[in-house]
Amino acid sequence: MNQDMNRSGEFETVLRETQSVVRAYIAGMGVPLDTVDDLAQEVYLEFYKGLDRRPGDVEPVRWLKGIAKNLCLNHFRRSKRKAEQHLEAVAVLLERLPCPLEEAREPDALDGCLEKLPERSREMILLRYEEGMESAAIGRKLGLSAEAVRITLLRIRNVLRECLGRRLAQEGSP
Amino acid sequence: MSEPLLAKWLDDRRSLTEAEALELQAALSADPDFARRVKDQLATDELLSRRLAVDRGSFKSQVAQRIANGATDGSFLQSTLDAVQRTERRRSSWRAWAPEAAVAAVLLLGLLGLLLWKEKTATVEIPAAAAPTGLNAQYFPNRFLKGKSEFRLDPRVDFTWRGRVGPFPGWSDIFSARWTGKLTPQYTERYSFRTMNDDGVRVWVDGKLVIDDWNGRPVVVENRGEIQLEAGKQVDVKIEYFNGGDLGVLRFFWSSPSLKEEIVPSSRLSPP
Repeated sequence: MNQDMNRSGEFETVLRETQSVVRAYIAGMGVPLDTVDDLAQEVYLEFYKGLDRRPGDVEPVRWLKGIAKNLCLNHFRRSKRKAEQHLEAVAVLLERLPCPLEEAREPDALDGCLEKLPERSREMILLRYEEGMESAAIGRKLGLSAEAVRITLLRIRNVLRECLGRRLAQEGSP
Repeated sequence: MSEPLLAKWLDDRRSLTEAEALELQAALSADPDFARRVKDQLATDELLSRRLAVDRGSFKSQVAQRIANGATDGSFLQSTLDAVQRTERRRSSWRAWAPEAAVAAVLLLGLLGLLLWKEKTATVEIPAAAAPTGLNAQYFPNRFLKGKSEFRLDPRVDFTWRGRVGPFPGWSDIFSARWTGKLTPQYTERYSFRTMNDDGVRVWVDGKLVIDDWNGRPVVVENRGEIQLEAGKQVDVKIEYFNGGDLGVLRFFWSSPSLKEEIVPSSRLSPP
């Protein structure tokens, strides 16, 4: 039982400390957002099953990323759609790049930046991420085409990324 | 790579055509700056989703907080299991899922055992004498479930018709079928049904349309649906299927929190 408790305690700690990074890592390979959590679940289940197999000198997060990489590539490989099979190659290319914003893993890091957005941009972001609306529906509501919504969202994310980068740099400076 | 195409992919990762996916791949290989911008977009997109998806965020923080507090009392176990069960029922909905919940359930099951859960689950054994088993099948030599037909009793719905053949000698690979009968669940639980099908299928359980994919399919696809069932209480089941030609596949699975996924067995099926 004590051994089980140690094992459980270790696992809980790893889970608490790494789940944001693992989710971001999976998303960073181009996995659809609605699949990220499914894959993250499988990553932790595999990790838990192989807890005793992890070499002591390998950091848990590195081990987790290794599992996640394999599961993500399998995800694309299993797809019946030709386009998604090409996205396996896209995932390999993306995986080689470092994950940006790892320092901003607490999602409320965005708050200061969201507040600075113009009203219309903020509304679009809320419709997309809070309401879960598709671009076509957002476009109908705001009198825009779906393509215009997609492009605008792309640019708003650029603005947010730059804002976050600046904030993190300020917080990190002495 | 054009901005509209990148925006399209970021908007829906499944929306690209094969040519567009190849274009994305080429652009990522050729232009490191572009690749970094894509990573930035993906990271911001994921961060926004975690920050703003209200229902999922609150659920996740609740579970995470209890894990962080080391709470391992029975109520947490049950609430976590409930969450996992909800998750399993709604796996396609990313808002409904939190990885901590499932993992915590595995962890706590390891600590406390499955007994608590099992005790709460009513089970009913089917009498050994229950016979005949399987479903009534009505096959039509067209894809519209109309006209003259052939009947037979199928013990289960697990078919692969390869080589341009139909369900009976001399039939073509264009046909349709309807299976009807009763289904007897073993547990009082939420059941998940899954089909692998090529081409179209519709499934009703207890009068509810749980799977609706009446479409021609170039490849085998999966469909899922779910419904709450009561241990031992027979419910109607009806499955309709068509094959528009070439390969024909229909496999009918079920699972529940207490039941590992399997082809619905003949012992749980009976003619009407």
